[in-house]
Amino acid sequence: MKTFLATLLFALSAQAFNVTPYKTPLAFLATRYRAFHTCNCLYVMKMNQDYCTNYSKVEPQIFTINIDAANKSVSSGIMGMDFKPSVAKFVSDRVGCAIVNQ
Amino acid sequence: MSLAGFTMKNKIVLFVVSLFAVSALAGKTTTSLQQMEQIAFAPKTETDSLLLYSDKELLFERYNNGYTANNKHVAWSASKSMSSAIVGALVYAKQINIQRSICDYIPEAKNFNHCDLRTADFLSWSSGLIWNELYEDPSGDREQSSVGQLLYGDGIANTSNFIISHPSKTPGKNEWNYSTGDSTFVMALARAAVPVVEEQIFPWKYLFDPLGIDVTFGQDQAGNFGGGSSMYIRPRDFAKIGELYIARGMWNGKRIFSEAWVDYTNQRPEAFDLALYGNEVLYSKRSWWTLNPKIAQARRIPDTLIANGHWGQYLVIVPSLKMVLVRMGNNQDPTSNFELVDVIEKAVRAVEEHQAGGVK
Repeated sequence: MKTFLATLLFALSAQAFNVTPYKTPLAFLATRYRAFHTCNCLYVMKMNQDYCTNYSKVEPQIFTINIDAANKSVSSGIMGMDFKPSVAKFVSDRVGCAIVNQ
Repeated sequence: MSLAGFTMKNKIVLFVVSLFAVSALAGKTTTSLQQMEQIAFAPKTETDSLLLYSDKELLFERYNNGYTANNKHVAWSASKSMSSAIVGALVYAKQINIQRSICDYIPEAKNFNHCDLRTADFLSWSSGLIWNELYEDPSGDREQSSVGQLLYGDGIANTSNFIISHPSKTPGKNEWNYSTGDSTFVMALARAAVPVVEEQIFPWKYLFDPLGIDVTFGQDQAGNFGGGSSMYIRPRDFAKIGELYIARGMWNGKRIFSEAWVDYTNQRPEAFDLALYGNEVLYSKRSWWTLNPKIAQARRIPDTLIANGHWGQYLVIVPSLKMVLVRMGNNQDPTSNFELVDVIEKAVRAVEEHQAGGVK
Protein backbone atom coordinates (compact mmCIF):
# COMPACT_ATOMS: atom_id res chain seq x y z
CA MET A 1 0.00 0.00 0.00
CA LYS A 2 2.82 2.35 0.94
CA THR A 3 4.57 1.61 -2.34
CA PHE A 4 1.34 2.14 -4.24
CA LEU A 5 0.76 5.50 -2.56
CA ALA A 6 4.34 6.56 -3.18
CA THR A 7 4.04 5.61 -6.84
CA LEU A 8 0.76 7.46 -7.13
CA LEU A 9 2.17 10.59 -5.47
CA PHE A 10 5.23 10.43 -7.69
CA ALA A 11 3.07 10.11 -10.82
CA LEU A 12 0.87 13.01 -9.71
CA SER A 13 3.79 15.28 -8.90
CA ALA A 14 5.41 14.44 -12.23
CA GLN A 15 2.15 15.33 -13.97
CA ALA A 16 1.87 18.55 -12.02
CA PHE A 17 5.32 19.53 -13.27
CA ASN A 18 4.39 18.29 -16.74
CA VAL A 19 7.98 17.18 -17.18
CA THR A 20 9.65 13.81 -17.28
CA PRO A 21 11.21 13.30 -13.85
CA TYR A 22 14.97 13.51 -13.90
CA LYS A 23 16.99 10.30 -13.80
CA THR A 24 20.25 11.00 -11.96
CA PRO A 25 19.94 9.82 -8.33
CA LEU A 26 20.78 12.11 -5.41
CA ALA A 27 23.89 10.07 -4.54
CA PHE A 28 25.46 11.08 -7.87
CA LEU A 29 24.31 14.71 -7.61
CA ALA A 30 25.75 15.01 -4.11
CA THR A 31 29.10 13.32 -4.75
CA ARG A 32 29.65 15.16 -8.04
CA TYR A 33 28.80 18.48 -6.39
CA ARG A 34 31.23 17.74 -3.57
CA ALA A 35 34.06 16.61 -5.84
CA PHE A 36 33.52 19.47 -8.32
CA HIS A 37 33.42 22.28 -5.75
CA THR A 38 36.30 20.95 -3.70
CA CYS A 39 38.36 20.75 -6.90
CA ASN A 40 37.53 24.32 -7.98
CA CYS A 41 38.04 25.62 -4.45
CA LEU A 42 41.53 24.07 -4.32
CA TYR A 43 42.79 24.69 -7.86
CA VAL A 44 40.86 27.77 -9.02
CA MET A 45 40.10 29.70 -5.83
CA LYS A 46 43.42 28.39 -4.41
CA MET A 47 42.12 28.02 -0.86
CA ASN A 48 43.42 25.42 1.56
CA GLN A 49 42.21 21.85 1.99
CA ASP A 50 40.37 22.38 5.30
CA TYR A 51 38.53 25.37 3.92
CA CYS A 52 37.61 23.58 0.69
CA THR A 53 36.32 20.33 2.20
CA ASN A 54 34.13 22.41 4.51
CA TYR A 55 33.04 24.76 1.72
CA SER A 56 31.72 21.89 -0.39
CA LYS A 57 29.89 20.02 2.35
CA VAL A 58 26.52 18.48 1.55
CA GLU A 59 23.74 17.44 3.96
CA PRO A 60 23.61 14.79 5.27
CA GLN A 61 27.37 14.81 5.80
CA ILE A 62 28.06 11.28 4.58
CA PHE A 63 29.92 12.20 1.37
CA THR A 64 33.66 11.59 1.59
CA ILE A 65 36.49 13.50 -0.08
CA ASN A 66 39.74 12.14 -1.43
CA ILE A 67 42.27 14.57 -2.90
CA ASP A 68 44.87 13.49 -5.45
CA ALA A 69 47.05 16.60 -5.40
CA ALA A 70 49.57 15.25 -7.93
CA ASN A 71 46.84 14.94 -10.57
CA LYS A 72 44.72 17.88 -9.35
CA SER A 73 41.83 15.47 -9.04
CA VAL A 74 39.20 15.09 -6.32
CA SER A 75 36.88 12.14 -5.72
CA SER A 76 33.84 11.83 -3.50
CA GLY A 77 32.14 8.66 -2.30
CA ILE A 78 29.64 7.70 0.38
CA MET A 79 30.78 6.80 3.88
CA GLY A 80 30.52 3.06 4.59
CA MET A 81 28.99 2.25 1.19
CA ASP A 82 30.31 0.42 -1.84
CA PHE A 83 29.79 3.37 -4.21
CA LYS A 84 32.06 4.15 -7.14
CA PRO A 85 33.27 7.66 -6.30
CA SER A 86 32.49 10.69 -8.46
CA VAL A 87 35.59 12.44 -9.79
CA ALA A 88 36.31 16.05 -10.76
CA LYS A 89 39.61 16.96 -12.37
CA PHE A 90 41.30 20.29 -13.00
CA VAL A 91 41.39 21.01 -16.75
CA SER A 92 42.88 24.50 -17.17
CA ASP A 93 42.92 27.97 -15.64
CA ARG A 94 40.18 29.08 -18.03
CA VAL A 95 37.84 26.12 -17.57
CA GLY A 96 38.66 25.13 -14.00
CA CYS A 97 37.55 21.64 -12.96
CA ALA A 98 35.25 19.29 -14.86
CA ILE A 99 33.26 16.26 -13.75
CA VAL A 100 34.75 13.06 -15.14
CA ASN A 101 32.36 10.39 -16.41
CA GLN A 102 31.87 7.45 -14.05
CA MET B 1 57.64 68.76 23.09
CA SER B 2 58.05 71.13 26.05
CA LEU B 3 55.31 73.50 27.10
CA ALA B 4 57.69 75.48 29.34
CA GLY B 5 57.68 78.56 27.13
CA PHE B 6 53.88 78.82 26.98
CA THR B 7 51.82 81.07 29.23
CA MET B 8 48.95 79.54 31.19
CA LYS B 9 46.48 81.14 28.76
CA ASN B 10 48.32 79.65 25.80
CA LYS B 11 48.38 76.26 27.53
CA ILE B 12 44.59 76.39 27.95
CA VAL B 13 44.14 77.33 24.29
CA LEU B 14 46.43 74.47 23.30
CA PHE B 15 44.47 72.08 25.51
CA VAL B 16 41.16 73.11 23.94
CA VAL B 17 42.62 72.79 20.42
CA SER B 18 43.93 69.30 21.32
CA LEU B 19 40.48 68.32 22.56
CA PHE B 20 39.00 69.32 19.22
CA ALA B 21 41.65 67.33 17.38
CA VAL B 22 41.04 64.25 19.50
CA SER B 23 37.28 64.48 19.10
CA ALA B 24 37.71 64.96 15.34
CA LEU B 25 39.79 61.78 15.20
CA ALA B 26 37.24 59.97 17.36
CA GLY B 27 34.51 61.25 15.04
CA LYS B 28 36.25 59.60 12.15
CA THR B 29 35.47 56.16 13.58
CA THR B 30 31.82 56.83 12.87
CA THR B 31 32.19 57.86 9.25
CA SER B 32 29.82 56.14 6.86
CA LEU B 33 32.75 54.17 5.47
CA GLN B 34 33.53 52.72 8.86
CA GLN B 35 29.87 52.07 9.58
CA MET B 36 29.76 50.18 6.29
CA GLU B 37 32.75 48.11 7.36
CA GLN B 38 31.24 47.39 10.78
CA ILE B 39 27.99 46.14 9.27
CA ALA B 40 29.65 44.15 6.48
CA PHE B 41 32.16 42.39 8.74
CA ALA B 42 30.04 41.93 11.88
CA PRO B 43 30.07 38.41 13.38
CA LYS B 44 28.13 35.87 11.29
CA THR B 45 28.18 38.03 8.16
CA GLU B 46 30.65 35.66 6.44
CA THR B 47 31.97 38.41 4.20
CA ASP B 48 35.04 37.25 2.22
CA SER B 49 35.75 40.58 0.51
CA LEU B 50 34.36 44.09 0.31
CA LEU B 51 35.54 46.79 -2.10
CA LEU B 52 34.14 50.28 -2.66
CA TYR B 53 35.02 52.62 -5.53
CA SER B 54 34.09 56.23 -6.16
CA ASP B 55 34.74 57.29 -9.76
CA LYS B 56 37.36 54.47 -10.11
CA GLU B 57 39.12 55.52 -6.89
CA LEU B 58 39.37 52.66 -4.41
CA LEU B 59 37.95 53.98 -1.13
CA PHE B 60 37.82 50.70 0.74
CA GLU B 61 39.18 47.17 0.32
CA ARG B 62 39.21 44.36 2.85
CA TYR B 63 39.55 40.60 2.59
CA ASN B 64 38.59 38.01 5.16
CA ASN B 65 38.42 34.26 5.90
CA GLY B 66 41.78 33.55 4.24
CA TYR B 67 41.03 35.34 0.95
CA THR B 68 43.36 37.91 -0.61
CA ALA B 69 43.16 40.12 -3.69
CA ASN B 70 44.76 37.26 -5.64
CA ASN B 71 42.11 34.63 -4.92
CA LYS B 72 39.34 34.14 -7.44
CA HIS B 73 35.94 33.74 -5.82
CA VAL B 74 33.01 31.77 -7.18
CA ALA B 75 30.45 34.23 -8.58
CA TRP B 76 27.56 31.74 -8.60
CA SER B 77 24.53 33.46 -10.17
CA ALA B 78 26.33 36.77 -10.57
CA SER B 79 27.71 34.90 -13.61
CA LYS B 80 24.30 35.48 -15.24
CA SER B 81 24.89 39.23 -15.43
CA MET B 82 28.38 38.76 -16.86
CA SER B 83 26.96 36.35 -19.47
CA SER B 84 24.57 39.14 -20.44
CA ALA B 85 27.56 41.48 -20.83
CA ILE B 86 29.19 38.94 -23.16
CA VAL B 87 26.02 38.83 -25.29
CA GLY B 88 25.99 42.63 -25.35
CA ALA B 89 29.52 42.57 -26.74
CA LEU B 90 28.47 39.99 -29.36
CA VAL B 91 25.48 42.15 -30.37
CA TYR B 92 27.83 45.12 -30.80
CA ALA B 93 30.17 42.94 -32.92
CA LYS B 94 27.12 41.86 -34.97
CA GLN B 95 27.62 38.21 -34.06
CA ILE B 96 24.13 37.64 -32.65
CA ASN B 97 20.65 39.13 -33.04
CA ILE B 98 18.75 38.62 -29.82
CA GLN B 99 15.37 39.15 -31.49
CA ARG B 100 15.79 36.20 -33.85
CA SER B 101 14.31 32.77 -33.15
CA ILE B 102 16.54 30.53 -31.06
CA CYS B 103 16.06 27.89 -33.78
CA ASP B 104 18.25 30.05 -36.07
CA TYR B 105 21.13 29.33 -33.68
CA ILE B 106 20.22 26.01 -32.07
CA PRO B 107 18.11 23.96 -34.54
CA GLU B 108 17.51 21.24 -31.90
CA ALA B 109 15.01 23.62 -30.30
CA LYS B 110 12.62 22.76 -33.18
CA ASN B 111 12.26 19.24 -31.78
CA PHE B 112 10.64 20.72 -28.68
CA ASN B 113 8.47 23.35 -30.48
CA HIS B 114 10.44 26.28 -29.03
CA CYS B 115 11.05 28.26 -32.24
CA ASP B 116 8.77 31.06 -31.00
CA LEU B 117 11.38 31.91 -28.34
CA ARG B 118 14.17 34.46 -28.87
CA THR B 119 17.50 34.99 -27.09
CA ALA B 120 15.87 38.12 -25.61
CA ASP B 121 13.36 35.93 -23.73
CA PHE B 122 16.18 33.98 -22.07
CA LEU B 123 18.09 37.20 -21.23
CA SER B 124 14.94 38.34 -19.41
CA TRP B 125 14.43 35.08 -17.48
CA SER B 126 11.17 34.86 -19.38
CA SER B 127 11.53 31.78 -21.58
CA GLY B 128 8.52 30.24 -19.85
CA LEU B 129 10.23 26.83 -19.78
CA ILE B 130 9.24 24.71 -16.80
CA TRP B 131 12.14 24.93 -14.39
CA ASN B 132 12.60 24.06 -10.73
CA GLU B 133 15.23 26.46 -9.33
CA LEU B 134 15.78 24.55 -6.08
CA TYR B 135 19.25 24.60 -4.51
CA GLU B 136 20.70 22.52 -1.70
CA ASP B 137 17.85 22.73 0.81
CA PRO B 138 17.87 19.17 2.24
CA SER B 139 14.13 19.39 2.96
CA GLY B 140 13.41 19.88 -0.74
CA ASP B 141 13.31 17.16 -3.39
CA ARG B 142 16.86 17.74 -4.55
CA GLU B 143 16.62 14.93 -7.09
CA GLN B 144 13.99 16.96 -8.95
CA SER B 145 15.94 20.22 -8.84
CA SER B 146 16.47 21.42 -12.41
CA VAL B 147 19.62 23.28 -11.33
CA GLY B 148 21.11 20.27 -9.56
CA GLN B 149 20.41 18.07 -12.57
CA LEU B 150 21.75 20.74 -14.96
CA LEU B 151 25.12 20.98 -13.23
CA TYR B 152 25.66 17.55 -11.66
CA GLY B 153 23.13 15.19 -13.23
CA ASP B 154 21.18 14.68 -16.44
CA GLY B 155 22.55 17.92 -17.87
CA ILE B 156 26.32 17.52 -17.58
CA ALA B 157 26.83 15.83 -20.97
CA ASN B 158 25.15 18.73 -22.77
CA THR B 159 23.48 21.51 -20.78
CA SER B 160 22.02 23.14 -23.91
CA ASN B 161 20.13 19.98 -24.94
CA PHE B 162 19.02 19.42 -21.33
CA ILE B 163 17.55 22.93 -20.95
CA ILE B 164 15.75 23.07 -24.27
CA SER B 165 14.11 19.68 -23.69
CA HIS B 166 11.97 21.27 -20.95
CA PRO B 167 8.43 22.06 -22.11
CA SER B 168 6.85 25.50 -21.93
CA LYS B 169 4.69 26.09 -18.91
CA THR B 170 2.15 28.05 -20.90
CA PRO B 171 3.05 27.84 -24.61
CA GLY B 172 2.87 31.15 -26.43
CA LYS B 173 2.88 33.20 -23.23
CA ASN B 174 6.09 34.30 -21.52
CA GLU B 175 6.25 34.10 -17.77
CA TRP B 176 9.09 35.52 -15.64
CA ASN B 177 10.79 32.67 -13.81
CA TYR B 178 14.28 33.24 -12.44
CA SER B 179 16.21 30.37 -13.98
CA THR B 180 19.81 29.20 -14.17
CA GLY B 181 18.59 27.26 -17.22
CA ASP B 182 17.67 30.47 -19.07
CA SER B 183 21.07 32.09 -18.42
CA THR B 184 23.00 28.93 -19.28
CA PHE B 185 21.04 28.68 -22.53
CA VAL B 186 21.92 32.32 -23.30
CA MET B 187 25.58 31.28 -23.36
CA ALA B 188 24.76 28.21 -25.49
CA LEU B 189 23.07 30.56 -28.01
CA ALA B 190 26.09 32.87 -27.91
CA ARG B 191 28.43 29.95 -28.52
CA ALA B 192 26.28 28.77 -31.44
CA ALA B 193 26.25 32.28 -32.92
CA VAL B 194 30.04 32.85 -33.09
CA PRO B 195 32.33 31.29 -35.71
CA VAL B 196 33.46 27.75 -34.84
CA VAL B 197 37.04 28.92 -34.23
CA GLU B 198 35.78 31.25 -31.49
CA GLU B 199 33.57 28.74 -29.67
CA GLN B 200 36.04 28.25 -26.83
CA ILE B 201 37.40 31.79 -26.64
CA PHE B 202 34.56 34.23 -27.29
CA PRO B 203 33.92 35.24 -23.62
CA TRP B 204 37.55 36.36 -23.39
CA LYS B 205 37.86 37.77 -26.91
CA TYR B 206 34.80 40.03 -26.69
CA LEU B 207 34.68 40.94 -22.97
CA PHE B 208 37.29 39.69 -20.53
CA ASP B 209 40.55 40.21 -22.45
CA PRO B 210 39.83 43.85 -23.39
CA LEU B 211 39.11 44.53 -19.68
CA GLY B 212 42.20 42.59 -18.56
CA ILE B 213 40.08 40.14 -16.56
CA ASP B 214 41.43 36.67 -15.83
CA VAL B 215 38.21 34.73 -15.29
CA THR B 216 37.64 30.99 -14.95
CA PHE B 217 34.45 29.92 -16.73
CA GLY B 218 33.34 26.30 -16.27
CA GLN B 219 32.07 24.19 -19.17
CA ASP B 220 29.94 21.08 -19.55
CA GLN B 221 31.25 17.98 -21.32
CA ALA B 222 30.07 19.34 -24.70
CA GLY B 223 31.92 22.65 -24.24
CA ASN B 224 28.90 24.78 -23.30
CA PHE B 225 29.74 27.46 -20.72
CA GLY B 226 28.03 27.48 -17.33
CA GLY B 227 26.56 30.91 -18.05
CA GLY B 228 24.21 30.82 -15.09
CA SER B 229 26.59 29.88 -12.32
CA SER B 230 30.14 28.87 -13.16
CA MET B 231 32.38 31.93 -13.21
CA TYR B 232 35.29 32.47 -10.81
CA ILE B 233 36.59 36.02 -10.65
CA ARG B 234 38.79 38.22 -8.44
CA PRO B 235 36.89 41.03 -6.66
CA ARG B 236 38.94 43.82 -8.31
CA ASP B 237 38.16 42.32 -11.71
CA PHE B 238 34.49 42.02 -10.80
CA ALA B 239 34.54 45.78 -10.09
CA LYS B 240 35.78 46.41 -13.66
CA ILE B 241 32.45 45.05 -14.96
CA GLY B 242 30.78 47.75 -12.88
CA GLU B 243 33.02 50.47 -14.33
CA LEU B 244 32.16 49.24 -17.83
CA TYR B 245 28.44 49.83 -17.21
CA ILE B 246 29.10 53.24 -15.63
CA ALA B 247 31.08 54.18 -18.75
CA ARG B 248 28.09 52.90 -20.77
CA GLY B 249 30.08 50.27 -22.63
CA MET B 250 33.41 52.06 -23.15
CA TRP B 251 36.72 50.73 -21.82
CA ASN B 252 40.00 52.61 -22.33
CA GLY B 253 38.68 54.23 -25.50
CA LYS B 254 37.36 50.96 -26.93
CA ARG B 255 33.64 50.29 -27.19
CA ILE B 256 32.70 46.86 -25.75
CA PHE B 257 28.94 47.18 -26.11
CA SER B 258 26.54 49.93 -27.13
CA GLU B 259 24.85 52.47 -24.86
CA ALA B 260 21.58 51.00 -26.12
CA TRP B 261 22.65 47.70 -24.59
CA VAL B 262 23.08 49.35 -21.18
CA ASP B 263 19.59 50.87 -21.51
CA TYR B 264 18.16 47.50 -22.60
CA THR B 265 19.80 45.78 -19.61
CA ASN B 266 18.25 48.37 -17.31
CA GLN B 267 14.69 47.58 -18.42
CA ARG B 268 12.41 45.53 -16.24
CA PRO B 269 11.37 42.37 -18.09
CA GLU B 270 7.80 42.77 -19.40
CA ALA B 271 6.82 39.52 -17.69
CA PHE B 272 8.19 40.50 -14.25
CA ASP B 273 4.84 40.85 -12.49
CA LEU B 274 4.81 43.50 -9.74
CA ALA B 275 1.59 42.02 -8.36
CA LEU B 276 3.60 38.89 -7.54
CA TYR B 277 7.07 40.30 -6.80
CA GLY B 278 6.39 43.91 -5.73
CA ASN B 279 7.51 43.33 -2.15
CA GLU B 280 10.81 41.61 -3.00
CA VAL B 281 14.02 43.41 -1.98
CA LEU B 282 15.43 43.01 -5.49
CA TYR B 283 13.51 43.64 -8.72
CA SER B 284 14.53 41.96 -11.93
CA LYS B 285 16.20 43.78 -14.79
CA ARG B 286 17.36 41.85 -17.87
CA SER B 287 19.84 39.30 -16.42
CA TRP B 288 20.51 41.84 -13.66
CA TRP B 289 18.70 43.20 -10.60
CA THR B 290 17.95 46.49 -8.91
CA LEU B 291 16.76 47.49 -5.45
CA ASN B 292 13.02 47.68 -4.87
CA PRO B 293 12.35 51.39 -5.61
CA LYS B 294 10.39 51.84 -2.38
CA ILE B 295 13.36 50.61 -0.32
CA ALA B 296 15.80 52.65 -2.40
CA GLN B 297 13.74 55.81 -1.90
CA ALA B 298 13.39 55.30 1.86
CA ARG B 299 17.16 54.79 2.20
CA ARG B 300 18.06 57.58 -0.26
CA ILE B 301 19.85 55.13 -2.57
CA PRO B 302 19.94 56.24 -6.23
CA ASP B 303 19.14 53.81 -9.07
CA THR B 304 21.23 50.64 -8.87
CA LEU B 305 22.23 47.85 -11.22
CA ILE B 306 23.05 44.71 -9.25
CA ALA B 307 24.58 41.35 -10.07
CA ASN B 308 23.39 38.91 -7.43
CA GLY B 309 24.79 35.46 -6.75
CA HIS B 310 23.99 32.61 -4.41
CA TRP B 311 25.36 32.83 -0.85
CA GLY B 312 25.95 36.57 -1.05
CA GLN B 313 27.87 37.52 -4.20
CA TYR B 314 27.09 41.12 -5.15
CA LEU B 315 28.26 43.72 -7.64
CA VAL B 316 26.34 46.93 -6.93
CA ILE B 317 26.62 49.73 -9.48
CA VAL B 318 25.28 53.24 -8.82
CA PRO B 319 25.80 55.03 -12.14
CA SER B 320 24.69 58.49 -10.91
CA LEU B 321 27.46 58.45 -8.26
CA LYS B 322 29.98 56.47 -10.37
CA MET B 323 29.99 54.07 -7.43
CA VAL B 324 30.93 50.39 -7.55
CA LEU B 325 30.57 48.07 -4.57
CA VAL B 326 31.78 44.46 -4.64
CA ARG B 327 30.88 42.04 -1.89
CA MET B 328 31.74 38.36 -2.03
CA GLY B 329 30.91 35.95 0.74
CA ASN B 330 29.87 32.53 1.82
CA ASN B 331 26.43 32.68 3.35
CA GLN B 332 25.74 28.98 3.07
CA ASP B 333 25.22 28.61 6.82
CA PRO B 334 21.56 29.55 7.40
CA THR B 335 22.50 31.30 10.67
CA SER B 336 24.79 33.68 8.78
CA ASN B 337 23.36 37.04 7.82
CA PHE B 338 24.53 39.80 5.51
CA GLU B 339 22.45 43.00 5.43
CA LEU B 340 22.84 44.06 1.82
CA VAL B 341 20.60 47.13 1.92
CA ASP B 342 22.30 48.52 5.04
CA VAL B 343 25.72 48.10 3.47
CA ILE B 344 24.64 49.73 0.19
CA GLU B 345 23.12 52.63 2.15
CA LYS B 346 26.35 53.26 4.09
CA ALA B 347 28.43 52.87 0.92
CA VAL B 348 26.29 55.47 -0.85
CA ARG B 349 26.66 57.88 2.08
CA ALA B 350 30.43 57.27 2.13
CA VAL B 351 30.76 57.99 -1.58
CA GLU B 352 28.59 61.10 -1.27
CA GLU B 353 30.76 62.34 1.63
CA HIS B 354 33.94 61.59 -0.28
CA GLN B 355 32.73 63.39 -3.39
CA ALA B 356 31.70 66.36 -1.26
CA GLY B 357 35.24 66.45 0.13
CA GLY B 358 34.28 65.23 3.60
CA VAL B 359 36.58 62.22 3.71
CA LYS B 360 40.14 62.34 2.49
